[in-house]
Amino acid sequence: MQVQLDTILCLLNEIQPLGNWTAATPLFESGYMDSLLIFDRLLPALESRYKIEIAPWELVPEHFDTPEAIYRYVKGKQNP
Amino acid sequence: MNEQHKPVHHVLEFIEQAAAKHPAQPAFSDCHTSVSYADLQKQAQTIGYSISMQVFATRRPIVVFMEKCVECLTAFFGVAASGNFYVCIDTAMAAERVRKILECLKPAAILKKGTTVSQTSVFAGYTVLDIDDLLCPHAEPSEVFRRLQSIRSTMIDADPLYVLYTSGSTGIPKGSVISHRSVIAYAQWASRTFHFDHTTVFGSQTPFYFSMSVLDIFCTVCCGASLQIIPKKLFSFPVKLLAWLHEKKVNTIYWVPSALSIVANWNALDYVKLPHLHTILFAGEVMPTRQLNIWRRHLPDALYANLFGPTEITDIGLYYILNREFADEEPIPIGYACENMEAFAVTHEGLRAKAGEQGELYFRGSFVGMGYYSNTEKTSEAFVQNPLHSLYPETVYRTGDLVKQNEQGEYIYLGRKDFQIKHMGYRIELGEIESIAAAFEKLQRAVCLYDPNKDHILLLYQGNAEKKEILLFLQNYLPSYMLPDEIICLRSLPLNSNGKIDRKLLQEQYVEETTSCRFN
Repeated sequence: MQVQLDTILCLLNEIQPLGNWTAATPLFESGYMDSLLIFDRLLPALESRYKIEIAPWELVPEHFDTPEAIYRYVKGKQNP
Repeated sequence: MNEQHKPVHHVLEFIEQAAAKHPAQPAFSDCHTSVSYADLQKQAQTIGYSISMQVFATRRPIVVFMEKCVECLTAFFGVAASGNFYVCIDTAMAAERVRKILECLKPAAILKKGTTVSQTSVFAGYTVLDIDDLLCPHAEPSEVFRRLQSIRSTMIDADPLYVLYTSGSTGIPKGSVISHRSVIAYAQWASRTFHFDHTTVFGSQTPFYFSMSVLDIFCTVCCGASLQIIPKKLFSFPVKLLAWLHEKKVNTIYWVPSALSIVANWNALDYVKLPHLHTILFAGEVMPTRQLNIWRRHLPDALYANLFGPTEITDIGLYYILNREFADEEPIPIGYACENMEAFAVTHEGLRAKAGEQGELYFRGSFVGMGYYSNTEKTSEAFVQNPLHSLYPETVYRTGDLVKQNEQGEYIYLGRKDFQIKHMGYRIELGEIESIAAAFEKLQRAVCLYDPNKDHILLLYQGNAEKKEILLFLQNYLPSYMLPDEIICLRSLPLNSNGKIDRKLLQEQYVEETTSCRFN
């Protein structure tokens, strides 16, 4: 599946329905996302839905700070 | 009397001793600031004096409502200097839960920092003090010293140091009251056992409203060591987290297994070497052996220890220093009792369990707390007469944990007697979630289950509500770690022959399969 910003927002909404996610919502400062949701739910979902493999060194704030950052990161992985 | 053997009666004596020996040594640091022992001593005195001039009471609860930061720790010691005891409350806690805790505590004051407090309305009617104001006293140092000495002279080591709140099955959190004496005994034992000294640098992971932080904070001051507060966000970026530990020269960590597992699962240890790290302690939940073995392969010379115990006995009462190899599927023992503590298991028949026999775990000794704050009913249920004798009054703590001893005499954790679980390192009473869910008018019935394989909390309900609605309701009352991971709507909840919800059947149905409409 080709990534789109809307599908990232839907995914975040599935994982954490309380988040009121927009493209610019700060993932960590919002208080609705913690490390366990990231590792337990978000990363496996990104890998399986968008057929990408996330390397440990790619887990950096620049790629996961906001839904838009996640979208750009996944897009970059799909279209290197 | 030799200074080394002089008994300590108050935790501030730790700071005073460290300030005398290593005044410039950083005691506590976060990503914004750092405080030396000399400054920590001075700030604690200043805050203590300011509180005492506003509260005019001792042995009363003072709430510390602050983010995890250096000032929060300074506030704890300031409260102790004022002759009162601190109660650290999570700033992200649901307002209704804060209200319940405040109603139970009736605190003499609430300490906060700045104006960004979301729960302001909950504080109406209480004395609210800003930490920055407290640090600006209008008194001569001699007057500060005289007043604090006068307060200290009235205190004994059995006075409370803090109250920590944990989940309560009736929907009302329980506040464990812990004395200076217990914390001093615990910090001194841990420092001796794990060889902490002034060169120790702790990397603090757990929140200050969680009992594991007691080791980090009080062993730091007990040994004149240093504590680095790790930014919470870093736990989502394992490689960066390890690079940060290396940069800060952290050599000792006491983390929940979930945090250690994230690092192991993402192979972060392949990318960052940690030559400073020599002591790795864990507690709060079962440590998966496979992930622990990954750590052991990368840092084979480090000391690893599994610590075990509830908030009611300060932090832990059993510990196991790993001294042999464990296969990935083998459980790590919870080990042996700490010094001046006894752990014992009692069978269903009320007898001391023999080796290999299952029993409920009890603790007696120096770390056992004083009971629950303003809750005699719950205190009398858990802090009981030693069931093995009635010869003289002896209060022991009944944990509700099921254990057995293996052939080596090590205790092995088997599970719980009740519906208490450990989730993300936090102790949770499923009954508390059910009790809150039952108050939502759109739910006819609700039951909470726990799936240990996925580490998920499930809420199964009968009623006409959507997942988001339920979550929005629950988040008004519960902290985020208590919110269900899965919410399942059932046409009806099955009942057993006693007319109660059939939990056993639901557990089986959930594990096998359910025909319910899942929102997830």
